[in-house]
Amino acid sequence: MILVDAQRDALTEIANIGVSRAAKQLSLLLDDNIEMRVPTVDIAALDDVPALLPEVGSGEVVSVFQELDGYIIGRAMLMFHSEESRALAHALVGNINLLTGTDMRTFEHEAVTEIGNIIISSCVSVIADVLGKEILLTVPSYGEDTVANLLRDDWHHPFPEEMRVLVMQAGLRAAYRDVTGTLLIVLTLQSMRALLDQVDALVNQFRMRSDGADA
Amino acid sequence: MDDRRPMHSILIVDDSATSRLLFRAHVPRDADYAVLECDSEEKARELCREHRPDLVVLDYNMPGRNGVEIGSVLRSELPDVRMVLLTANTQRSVLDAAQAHGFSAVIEKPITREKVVSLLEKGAP
Repeated sequence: MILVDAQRDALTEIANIGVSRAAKQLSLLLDDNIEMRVPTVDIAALDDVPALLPEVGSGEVVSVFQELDGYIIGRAMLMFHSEESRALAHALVGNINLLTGTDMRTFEHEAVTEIGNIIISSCVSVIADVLGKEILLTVPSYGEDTVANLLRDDWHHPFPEEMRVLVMQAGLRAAYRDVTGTLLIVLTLQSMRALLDQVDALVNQFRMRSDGADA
Repeated sequence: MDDRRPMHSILIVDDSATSRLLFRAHVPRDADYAVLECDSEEKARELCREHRPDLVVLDYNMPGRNGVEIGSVLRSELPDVRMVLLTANTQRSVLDAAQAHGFSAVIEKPITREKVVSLLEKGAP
């Protein structure tokens, strides 16, 4: 399964809107300027994803993930380097002077999970609204492992080799904290086809409107 | 001894401790609010029965039932309570559900001081 140009362009624009919203939320959360790199979009099999993520690397990463249901079935995963996620947690909770005497570590996983929840929910909301479909999200979970192992996790799917990953690489860099996140949307083959069909329909709809306007 | 009771009470229902912490931290200290918090529907029902809060702030994405569904349950016990939904999931379907179930506002996460102050100023419970 490969993306044709029109699909890639449409998905990149959807990712751009979703990540822009996430950047705004992150900026509010951290009280920091967030620089955003134009997202890149690819589709890959689970085993091929690590090679697409050289910036994330082969070491251990932190992942916040939420299961997707409804129009598409799969999982949204946000990944950070471990050190970056720690910096994020400190930036968030450190902004409020309530934790004097409290063990920061207690809050690190919890705070990163909440940040992940906000970014994933923002992006998925944009995707759902642009496609005109409802996507349900579970509560977020937290994991630490290599990208390859995180992607080998239990998928509750009889044929994980048939899963496809929509890899949205979006650099979100906090000006005062070097943090870059990568969003992966792992879908069943059927859901990926449904998503691409809907993207095609959307592109055609806009083309027809555009042709009508030109006529 | 100061035996004054707070003018108003707010109940925050969110399974994220960070989210509850942020909300609580942004309630102005000079405002006369008692802030209660919990992480589940069951505890929310208990606190509502015990304290009868003026305002309930519910996270949407909760384990089990979502915040809108939990709000409907709480409203059956506190018909006049003001409810506000807290979420980063701003899909049309979520906003429509909140409106249909009588939520007076939706606060888009992340929680900021401006949002909390505006919520409390606009419609002091």
